[in-house]
Amino acid sequence: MGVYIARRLLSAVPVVLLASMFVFAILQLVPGDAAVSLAGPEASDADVQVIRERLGLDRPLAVQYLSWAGKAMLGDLGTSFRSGRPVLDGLRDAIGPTAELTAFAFALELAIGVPLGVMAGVRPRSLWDWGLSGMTVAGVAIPHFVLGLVLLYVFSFRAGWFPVGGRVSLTDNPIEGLRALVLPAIVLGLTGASVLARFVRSSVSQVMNQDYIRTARAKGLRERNVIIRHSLRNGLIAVITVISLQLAGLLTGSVVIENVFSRPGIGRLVVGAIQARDFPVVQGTLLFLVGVFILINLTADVLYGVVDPRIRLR
Amino acid sequence: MSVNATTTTTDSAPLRAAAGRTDSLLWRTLRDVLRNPMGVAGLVLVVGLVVAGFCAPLLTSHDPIAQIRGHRLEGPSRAFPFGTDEFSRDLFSRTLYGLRASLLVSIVAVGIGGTLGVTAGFVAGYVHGPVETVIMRFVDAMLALPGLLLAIAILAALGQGLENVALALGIGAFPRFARLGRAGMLAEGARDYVLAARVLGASRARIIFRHVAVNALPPLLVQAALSMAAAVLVESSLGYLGIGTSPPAPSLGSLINGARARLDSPHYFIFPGLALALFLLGLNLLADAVNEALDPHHRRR
Repeated sequence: MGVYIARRLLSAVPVVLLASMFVFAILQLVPGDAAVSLAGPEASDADVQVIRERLGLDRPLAVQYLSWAGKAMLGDLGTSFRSGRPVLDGLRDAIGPTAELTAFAFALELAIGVPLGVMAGVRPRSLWDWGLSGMTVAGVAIPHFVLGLVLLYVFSFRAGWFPVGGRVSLTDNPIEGLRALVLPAIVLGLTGASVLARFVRSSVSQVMNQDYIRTARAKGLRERNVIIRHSLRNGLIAVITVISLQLAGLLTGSVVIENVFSRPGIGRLVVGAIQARDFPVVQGTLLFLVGVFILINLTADVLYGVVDPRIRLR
Repeated sequence: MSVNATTTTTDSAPLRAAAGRTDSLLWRTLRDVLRNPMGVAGLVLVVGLVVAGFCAPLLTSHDPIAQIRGHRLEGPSRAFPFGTDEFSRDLFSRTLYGLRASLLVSIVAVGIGGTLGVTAGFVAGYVHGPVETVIMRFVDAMLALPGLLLAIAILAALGQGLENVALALGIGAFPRFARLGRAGMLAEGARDYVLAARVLGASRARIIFRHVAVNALPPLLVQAALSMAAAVLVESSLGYLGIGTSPPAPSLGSLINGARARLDSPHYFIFPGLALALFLLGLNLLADAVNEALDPHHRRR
């Protein structure tokens, strides 16, 4: 097991390197001289020189990358152009709201996706199955921001059940906090649930045809126990893959959803920073997100090995 | 939201044997799609919306960025079927032109990104060795980032604009095509006809592009439809976030973004949202139908 984990960790190294170089390159790719375009049209040559030196743009590329990456590893992501605060502070403020949204959406996704998928898989061509098909079709066709606007219009603007956006801290005011969280979490959770349920369905229906299910039934187990103990448990192996993909999807989705529901968070942070050409914040946020994605993939890889011993030997 | 690539395995040997020639395989796929009601629905939606987008100047007499005095935020009427926005612009023509912009960018991006991706995949699958490792590691790194974030990162560097959006979408389409291209090459490369071609003295390029490419094509068609859907989705999301194409030129996403502050005028987001949803629906139905037509297990005689 230790060898397996070490091998997985090693295989992530080139991905981390490439991804961090890519994030680093963002500033280098700014058309023309980055320092000139950042300083603005009224800046004097001296101003441009100050910015160039502050960003270290006057040093060789390799030196710039190594110093940037080295500082980033120690948690120093630079200083925001806009606010003058350390990038890490802004990021720290944004992580909470995004994590809260992602966690709620994920809980919702599991609560809907897993039972729906299991029922549709155990009973093909039933009402469950048709419902799932309908949900899947809607899920791939309706973008998050469209569904978000529709829900905002119907339930917030018309019915007045939920606020028209914003966020209230869950610890300060749990009720208002939840009310502000419901719609964005539903948008993310529902679309995710349709994808998750589809995978659970195909995984379960595959398992249901296995001999050990027939054996379990033949020895007189109740259908409920057959499904939960035998079918679901074996079906879950494939579900790890989906869940890791889904977590990444939820995080990406929250970038858009935060902007639809005017919620603070990573998505608002990065989009606002792009519009303000606040490159240290853009780079810091993207680096953080890339890190999270790689970590999710890595965890899934390790879990495969835990769940299925055969994989460790490959 | 992610569009999941559920493509068939490339090993559809019985199918290919039955089809005899490759052009008849494509022909049969099309026939199967047309026999499938979902496939027909998808085809109708996609073709209909593409035609509507590209014929936008013929279908509407209003300029999408012209402000028509005295018609601010009006609901649908005979003169303005989709109503007007807060700058008194005709939403019908803005939706059509927005659709056209989204389509144009996505087609160019998927076309170029897909072609380059497949070529890289073919090369990786054919030559093996360090070249393959480098290409596939690179592809893996790209796949570690979700498409929307990749696009956001690229646009953060290059700035807004149609060309940059196209570039970002093309780069996003690249890795999946590279994977499929390599898989197709690995499956096809070991077949006898490749050996026969090599014995006859065909060059590497000729083997790859004249022989293998034609046979590895069908699963790539499914991916093309799914990648188009992904590209349109990312393009409109970027537009919604305000980091895509620059205003006042309409794009479906930025159009819907404008509606966010105008919830009292639901027609503002309903029509562009519907156009977007129907197009994505059509592409996904089409991809499913092609997938089913290619999968021997699901084939009806």
